[in-house]
Amino acid sequence: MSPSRDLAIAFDKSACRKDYEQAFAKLLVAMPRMPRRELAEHFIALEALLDDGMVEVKTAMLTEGLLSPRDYQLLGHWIYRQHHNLMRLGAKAVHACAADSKVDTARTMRLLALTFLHVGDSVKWELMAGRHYPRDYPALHGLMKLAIAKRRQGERGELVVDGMRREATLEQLYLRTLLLDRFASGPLTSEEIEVLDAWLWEWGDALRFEARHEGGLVMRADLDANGGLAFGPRNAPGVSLYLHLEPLEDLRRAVINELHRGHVVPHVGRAASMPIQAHVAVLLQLRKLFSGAGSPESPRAPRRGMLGDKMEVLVGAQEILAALGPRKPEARRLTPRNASATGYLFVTSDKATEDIAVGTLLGLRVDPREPPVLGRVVRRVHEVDDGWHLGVEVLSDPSVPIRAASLESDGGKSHDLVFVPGSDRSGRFDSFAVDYGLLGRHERYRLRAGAAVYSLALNRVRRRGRDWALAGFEILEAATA
Amino acid sequence: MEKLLAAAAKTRPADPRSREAARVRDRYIAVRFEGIARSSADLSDPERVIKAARLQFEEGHPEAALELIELAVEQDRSEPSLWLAELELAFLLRMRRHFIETARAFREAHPGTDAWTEIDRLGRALAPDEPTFRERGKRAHDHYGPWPHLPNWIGAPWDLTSEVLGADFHAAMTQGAPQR
Repeated sequence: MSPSRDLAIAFDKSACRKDYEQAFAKLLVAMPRMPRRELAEHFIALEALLDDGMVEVKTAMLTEGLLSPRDYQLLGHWIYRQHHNLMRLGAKAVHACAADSKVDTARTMRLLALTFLHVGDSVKWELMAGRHYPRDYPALHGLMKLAIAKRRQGERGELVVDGMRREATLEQLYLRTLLLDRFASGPLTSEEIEVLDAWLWEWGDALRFEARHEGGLVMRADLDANGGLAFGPRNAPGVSLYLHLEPLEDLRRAVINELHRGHVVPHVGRAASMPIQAHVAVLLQLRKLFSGAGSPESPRAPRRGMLGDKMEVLVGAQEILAALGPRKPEARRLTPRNASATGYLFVTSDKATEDIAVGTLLGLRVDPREPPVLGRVVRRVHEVDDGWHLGVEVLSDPSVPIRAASLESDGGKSHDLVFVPGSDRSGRFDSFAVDYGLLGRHERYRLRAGAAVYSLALNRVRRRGRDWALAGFEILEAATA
Repeated sequence: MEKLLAAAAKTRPADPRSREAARVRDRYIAVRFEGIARSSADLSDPERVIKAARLQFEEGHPEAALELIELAVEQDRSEPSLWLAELELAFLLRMRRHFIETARAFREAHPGTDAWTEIDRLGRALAPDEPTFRERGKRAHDHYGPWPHLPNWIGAPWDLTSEVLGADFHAAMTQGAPQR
């Protein structure tokens, strides 16, 4: 019954996946009658088998072009499901072993460490597969409470993760899960969350809780709550654990210093081969988090509900430009669930959003009679029993409409793009939504507006997305047309 | 924490000047400062770097402004204008520790610099108890740039020509019909 390490393990093969699933099912069925010590051994063996079989498959999934879209989707779902199932089995095994005096605490804590590991991994793989199971925060906090009750939360143990030996404490693994959770429903892609995870492993010594808040910027986990990390000290009664953000900010800066020297952190492992864009995106997201953005003190635009009216959504610069012209293109219609001055939340089906990713440029026709408002997808996540959630950040001021413009380069070539006026009449915050290709050229462009021909140069990026950027510019001179 | 930071530093490969390190640094610069620099070569023009940093600062991205200058200083420690721009930004951002450390490093890299009187004055305003700043030299002018009491090492424009052009352009683009 015990899963054999001789099993051919490479989960890109369906036979191997089936073997593993059978081993898992056997353990699940036998579990209630199994002596707890034996259960612990079987669980540890099964976990090692899963890790072994996934190493290469996960790398392939994070390498563009190696798998067909169908295989990618199939394997993503499968991996997500296995981490989730193993985590649930692990949680049951931990509680069973903890209640049995014949199982030594060290063994139970090892089970607990492995369970935390797979909670974290299932959170990570939600980005690939969408969230199909609700997050069980009380169960996660319950496991941490158990570690604290046994006074083992700071004890260090060895784990094999993606084929690499790592050392971690239980509180580190718990915090890893909660920090990944913070981003799995946010704006990171699967590549980016892999980079984040690699840093969290590197930063293990700073992933430490304190039982009291004694000043400084902190996030906290409320052990009696059905929720993840929150900012600041707790104002209501109850037990909370506090994570200091300043040491993590120092470590983030250390990563930047290494990039200045030309070194990615860590320099080995899957994250080391991720594109630099992924590293920079995570650095910027962490900057927000570690500076307290999202805390109760940081301003957030008030939300208002939207009652069912569908909105025309244009996807990509070409559709937006076409909509700004005389011939209105066919646009898909999505229903916003809520809105604020800074963005919209759309909830929609898989089909309607399959070509929309984090970073996609959108045009939102808020008022069907007006030009669209420019937006950027900042969040795309599948929520259980609800469909895909698309978070869209508004990039243009609805009271100052965007318009099509054509820049002419020195060679006489013209580039059609979207002019995005800032709300300030000084023009300081005006931008063009441009293709990346245009940014690298450092050319001068001419544009006729009113009675003058303006000569300008794109000179900074205000926002960036997939293949486009919102570029600021400088007017170099103006001549009468 | 120090142990952890030291360990992070140790993870780097042996030769920091290797071709691979140069490639990673260039790529980082291109991604982090898209539209401003394509590689470290684009940081070799101090005037351009300082202007780009000032624009970043004025648009509310002080971290990016400082980092851009830092990258350029790392590349050419002999160019005083970059150091001075970094010092002025640190002063404007009230980054006491950053200002003190940069001032000390600048003095070491450029001993006997004429700019020290000015740095000393800013340093005393920002960190009155810091022994690094104690010369109390006399300034030749009350201020040099368009912003009072600042030396304008970040090159804020003296005239408003570009501002006027920007406002005219905005008015033309938001009022007129689409034109080519």
